[in-house]
Amino acid sequence: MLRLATAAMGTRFEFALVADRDDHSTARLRAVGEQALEAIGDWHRRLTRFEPDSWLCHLNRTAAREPVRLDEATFALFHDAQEVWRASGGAFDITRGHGNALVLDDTDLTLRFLHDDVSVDLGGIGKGHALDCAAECLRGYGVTRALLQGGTSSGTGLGRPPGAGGWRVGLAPDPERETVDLVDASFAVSDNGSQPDAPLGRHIVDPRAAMSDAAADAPGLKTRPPMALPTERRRVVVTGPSARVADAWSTALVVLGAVPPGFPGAYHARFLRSEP
Amino acid sequence: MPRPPHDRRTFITQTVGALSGLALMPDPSWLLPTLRSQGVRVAVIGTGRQGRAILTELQKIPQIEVAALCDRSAARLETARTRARNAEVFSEHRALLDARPDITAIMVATPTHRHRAIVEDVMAAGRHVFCEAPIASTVADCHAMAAAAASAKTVCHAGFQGRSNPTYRRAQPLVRTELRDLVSMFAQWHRKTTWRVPAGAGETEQEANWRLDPAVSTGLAGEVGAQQMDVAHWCRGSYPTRITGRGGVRLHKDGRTVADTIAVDLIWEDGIVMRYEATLANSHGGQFELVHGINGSIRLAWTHGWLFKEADAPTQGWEVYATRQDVLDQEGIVLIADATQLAAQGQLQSGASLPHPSLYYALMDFLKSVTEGAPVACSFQDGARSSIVGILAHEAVTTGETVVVGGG
Repeated sequence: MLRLATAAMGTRFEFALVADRDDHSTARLRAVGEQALEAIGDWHRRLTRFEPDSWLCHLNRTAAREPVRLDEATFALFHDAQEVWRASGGAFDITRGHGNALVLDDTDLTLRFLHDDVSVDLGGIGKGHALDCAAECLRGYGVTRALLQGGTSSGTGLGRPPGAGGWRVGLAPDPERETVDLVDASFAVSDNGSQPDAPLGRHIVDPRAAMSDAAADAPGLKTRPPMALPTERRRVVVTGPSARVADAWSTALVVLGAVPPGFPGAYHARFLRSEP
Repeated sequence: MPRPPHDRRTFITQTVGALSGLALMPDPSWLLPTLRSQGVRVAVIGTGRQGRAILTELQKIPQIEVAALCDRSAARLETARTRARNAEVFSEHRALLDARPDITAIMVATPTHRHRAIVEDVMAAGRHVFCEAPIASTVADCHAMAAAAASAKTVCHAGFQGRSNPTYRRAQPLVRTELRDLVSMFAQWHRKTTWRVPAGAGETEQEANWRLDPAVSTGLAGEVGAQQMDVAHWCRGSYPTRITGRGGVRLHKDGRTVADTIAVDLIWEDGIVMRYEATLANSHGGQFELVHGINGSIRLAWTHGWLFKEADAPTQGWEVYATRQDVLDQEGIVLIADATQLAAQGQLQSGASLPHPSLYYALMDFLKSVTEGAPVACSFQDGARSSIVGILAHEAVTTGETVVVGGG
């Protein structure tokens, strides 16, 4: 088992790679792993809102004025974010200022904002996206057994570890109490009480509570959602094919407190005990 | 025993372009430059990591259409095409030049030792060329490429990014005006990585890992050091005359002979020394350059830059309006064009850094030369000199001997 790690997106990403082909010498496996780490670093540099030279800051400076071109992977990220916004009734929203106030053009692969005061914060979905891209990189080089995790709250398991049925992930201090087993799947955990110093003790807020009336009636939202902030502590784990979709849904479910009808069939959600 | 001099006549008699003419309060358009021309078609040859970085920056420029991509590896081309979906793909650069006469500007980001053949073909085809730094892996290739560029009728831009970076352009004249007499210089590049990449389909491990191949690699000194050494050349307006170096494999004992850790001293004729350290075994401190003078120090870190004044140094009028930050327990003056205006716009976040990476500014400078006739920010002649210093520094590391640069 080869372990690699990097610091990115304000947290630590770690990979455990199993050599499972004869020609996967340790040197080659490390080189493959570093390519995947490089993908994490690349997405960090592109998606961080804390560095003005990131692509995201370029987007936030520019997209209200003119359409901004996207590569295919970034387009897919924004597409998924919009899908979760719709299906969650606005409980997950990467935009600030107005609810989902952005237009994706799938012909030209461009994105523009509908208002001057819109900005995008990709938060956890960016971390999940980086994990998805790293996993794709590993698969592309023939790695079939690996565990990738970012900040211990999101991860992806490729194949199975040696001698086990899946990659077992503990979700509580007692590793046997709450677990998920991953086989070619991803997970994301959201906990609105994990940062007690955040406002109201809850670092995940309901984006609908901050929306204007006009924005709340935006096209695509079938019903006007409630405007209450969640007050109780909620912990949710979502599993499914994509870490970024799991990340987005785990955030939405903490806000919603229940699984809505639009929750995608390929994913599974479980509310955890409030105190780990 | 000192090594023989390297082309004294062309090396030592030429210095970096004029240092005068840059104001202390530079034009804010340096930070967010725009192109006036529309529909400029470009191609990228070499779509590895650096080629993809170029594509990321080109995507931000709406006037630019990436019309073609070229690489020997189909897998790399496929990945690159996700950032330029309408680009035509080629596996051989001559086919690209023949098939797409509408493409006027070409960025070359192949392995360093392949630059010369491609760049010379691009110039011969009458296209503008941006060549990644270092421009070549041998002294002979550097001279040949500089000579070819001198007779070319198109724009030939060497990708030494410091000369286009607004923070570095802000700092460059200050090295003389604010620091006064130089004391010493230091630069480092620390990153913990093997520098090894997995070979793709149809590619040998040796081809993929050309930076670890002693037959073609210029090592850490050439491949990453030349960029930082060029900053010193540009700021000083001159080049070192002697180079000493040492290095070894400290961490990655995987059979490689190219050092994963080096220390180099670039020594100028007046005795000023720039110590350069690079390693693949430790990441502390990352990448930065330090210039020490009798009146203060300048610390440059590519997206950031600060001036630290000595307590007894005279205060200049412009400092009253400067943005200041605490850096490494010292108050530094932020070296960013129009920092006050950017702060008012909320664009100076977390450390007053640039709104784009250095590569973006280098590409913009190149494209402005192509479309608007702007002066070339880094000529092939300047690029060749800094590439040669990197190559000779690698030679000093490899041989353990003092290399004389134009000193015979």
